[in-house]
Amino acid sequence: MKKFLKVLVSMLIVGAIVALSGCSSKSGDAAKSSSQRQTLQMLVPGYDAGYLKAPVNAAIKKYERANPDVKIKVVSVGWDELNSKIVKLYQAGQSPDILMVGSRSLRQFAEAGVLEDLTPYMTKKYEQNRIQSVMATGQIDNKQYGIPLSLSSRALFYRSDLIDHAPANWDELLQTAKTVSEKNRMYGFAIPTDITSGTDELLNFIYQGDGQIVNQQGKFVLDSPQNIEALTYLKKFKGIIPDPVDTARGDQVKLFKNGDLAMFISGGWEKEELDKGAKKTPYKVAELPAGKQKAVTLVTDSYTVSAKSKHKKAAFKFIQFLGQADQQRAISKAYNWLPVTKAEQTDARFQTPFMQPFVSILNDGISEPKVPNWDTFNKSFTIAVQKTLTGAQTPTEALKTAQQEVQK
Amino acid sequence: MIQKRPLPYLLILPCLILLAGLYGYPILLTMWQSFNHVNFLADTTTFVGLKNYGNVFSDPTFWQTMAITCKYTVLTVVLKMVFGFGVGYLLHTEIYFKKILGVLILIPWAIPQVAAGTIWQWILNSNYGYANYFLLKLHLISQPIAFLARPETAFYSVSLVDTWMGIPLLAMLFVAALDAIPKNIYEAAALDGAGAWRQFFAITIPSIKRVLLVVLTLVTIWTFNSFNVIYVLTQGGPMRATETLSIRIYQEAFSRFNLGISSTLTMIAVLILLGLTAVYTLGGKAHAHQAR
Repeated sequence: MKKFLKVLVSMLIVGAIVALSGCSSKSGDAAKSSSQRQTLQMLVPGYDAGYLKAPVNAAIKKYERANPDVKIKVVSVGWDELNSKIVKLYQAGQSPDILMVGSRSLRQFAEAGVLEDLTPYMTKKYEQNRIQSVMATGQIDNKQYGIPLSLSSRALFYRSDLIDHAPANWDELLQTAKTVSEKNRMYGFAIPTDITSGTDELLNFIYQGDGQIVNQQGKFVLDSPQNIEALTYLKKFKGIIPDPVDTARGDQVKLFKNGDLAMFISGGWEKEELDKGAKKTPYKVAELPAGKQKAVTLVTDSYTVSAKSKHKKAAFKFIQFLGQADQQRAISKAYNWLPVTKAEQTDARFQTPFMQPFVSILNDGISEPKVPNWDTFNKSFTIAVQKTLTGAQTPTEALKTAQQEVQK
Repeated sequence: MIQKRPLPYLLILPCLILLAGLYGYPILLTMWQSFNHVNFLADTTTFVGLKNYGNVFSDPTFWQTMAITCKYTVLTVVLKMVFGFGVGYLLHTEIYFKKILGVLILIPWAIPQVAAGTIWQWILNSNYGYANYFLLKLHLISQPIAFLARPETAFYSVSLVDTWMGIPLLAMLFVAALDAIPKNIYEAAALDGAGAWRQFFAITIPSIKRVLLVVLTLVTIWTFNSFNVIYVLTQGGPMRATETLSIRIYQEAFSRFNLGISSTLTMIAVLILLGLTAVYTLGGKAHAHQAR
C-alpha cells in the first residue's frame, strides 16, 4: 500500500511539473505575441445597451485586419456613469487611450489636464473633410481636444391623426397642447427634466427665448430675465403634461406609443420605436416651434485621447480611421445622427421627410454651454426647473438659487 | 487575559499588519485629505488646514443634508426594528408553514440591492407603475401619486423600500435570539400566573436586550450609510429631498471631483457613527453590570 502511494504521489508530481512547464512555455509564447501587438483601449459609453456595438465592432475588425500589429479593446460604460468612470480610471492610472465623451464635458477634462490637445495632429486635408461648425464643438480656447463623432438636433413629433398643422411658435404649441389634451383626454405635451438628458431638451426653450447659460465672458447668467421668461412659459403647461419630475426623455416615446401623449420633442433615434407603433399612433415630424427666435440645442459627442496614453499617435490614427466615410456613416446611422463629415452631407438619408426638420434647423443651432463642471450646472439647473414646474418656487426664486449654487 | 509569552503576539502580527493596511491606511488617507485641497485629476494636494471643515459647516445645504440624514435614519431604523422584530416574533411562534415563510421572508434580502431598487422604481413610477395601477383600480386614489417625484412622497417611499430590504436579516437575528430563550422560564411564569404581555415584557425583552442593542447599533450604522437604495431610486432627488450624507459624499467626489470636501464629509460621518457606537457600547456594558 505504501509503495502504491509513493508511486501515485511521484506520478502526480511529475504530471504537475510537466503540466506547469507546458503552461509556462505557452504563456511565454502568448506574452511574446501580445508584446508585439500594440493594444489600444477605447472607452465607449452605451456600448452594451445601445446601437453603437455593431458599427464599432465592425470598424475594429476592419482596422485590426488592415493593421495586424494593433489590437483594439473596448471598455464599456453606461452613459450615466461616463464622467465618473473617466475620473476613476484616470486616477487609477488606467485611463483608456481613446475616450468617447459628451462635448459638454470637454472643458472640464481639458482644464484638468486629462485630455491631449489634438491640434498638432490636425492636417489641412483632415480638416477639409469635416464640417467646421461641428468641429468647433470639440474646441476649447481654440484648441482641438475632441473630434466630434456624432451630431444631433431636435424636432417635434406629433400625432398626425389628431393634429392638422404642427405648431410653429410657442403660442401655437401651448394652444395645440391644450386643445388636443382636452379633446382626447391625453397629455398634450411633455417636459422631461431627468438629469441624464432632460437638460438638452430644456435648453431648446432657453435658446428660443434668446437666453443663455453662460455669457460671452464665460460667466453664468442662469437668472437672466430671458431665462426667467422661458421658465414662466413652461409653467403654463401645468395639467396637460405628465409629471415633469417623473418623466425622463426616454419615457416620452413610450407614452406616445401608448396613445397617452400627443406631442414631444426628441432626436432622430426615436424613429425605430415610433415606426413600431405607427399603425396605432401615426406621427409626423416638424421643426421645433420658435419662441422669440428659432433655435435648437446642438449636441455632439467626441473622440478624445487621454493625456496619459502611451500610444497617442496610434490612438489618433484609429480615430482618423473611424472618421472615414464608411465607418462614420455606420456610426451616424446607428442613432440617426446628423452629418459630421462633408461626405455625409449629401446622403439621401438626410433628405427624407423624417430627417428634414432635424437638418433644416441646423443653421439656427446653438451648442450646449461649455461650463466648468457639467454635473454641477446640470443638477442645479434641473432642480430649478423642477421647482418651477411643481410650483415649489417661482421661476425667479428657483433660478436665483441655481445661479448661487453654480457660482460657488 | 494578557499572555506573557511573545509567541502568540508574533503569530497574530501578520494579521494585525494586514488589518492596519486594509483599515488604517484608508482611514488615515481620508483624514489627511480632509485637511487638503485635492485635485482629483491632476493628482495634486495642497494643505488648507481646517478650511474644508469651515466651508462645509458654513454651507446651509450641509445642514439641510444633515437634517435629512437624521430624519431618514431615525424613521427607517424605527421601521426596520419594529417590522423586523414583528416578523421575527411571528416566525418564532408556532404557526403553519413556518419553514416556507422563513424562506419567503428572506427573498428581499437575497435580491441584489440595485436590482431590488430598480424593481421598486418601476413599481412606484407615476405613469405606469403597479402601485398606482392597483390603487386606482381599487378606487383608493383618483389621481396617480408621484411617489418618487415629489420631495415628501419620495422621502417616505425610499425609507419604506430600505425598510423592506432590511427586514429579513433583522427577522432572522431576532428569531435566533428568541429561540435561545429557555422555554421553562415561560412555563414557570405561566404557573405563577403571568399573562402573555407580562411574559413578553418581563422575560422576552430582558432576555434579548443585549441582542436588541447590538442589532440597533448595526442597523443605525447601516441605515446612516444607506447608499444603493437611495441612489438607484432617486439619486438624492427630487430637488435634494433624499440627499443624505452618503449620497452627498459620493456626489462631491465623483460629480464635483472635490475629494477634499468629500473626505471632510466622510470624517464627519465617521465621527457621528463612532459617537453612536460608543453610546450603545457603554449602554450595553452598564446594562451587563446591572444584570450581575
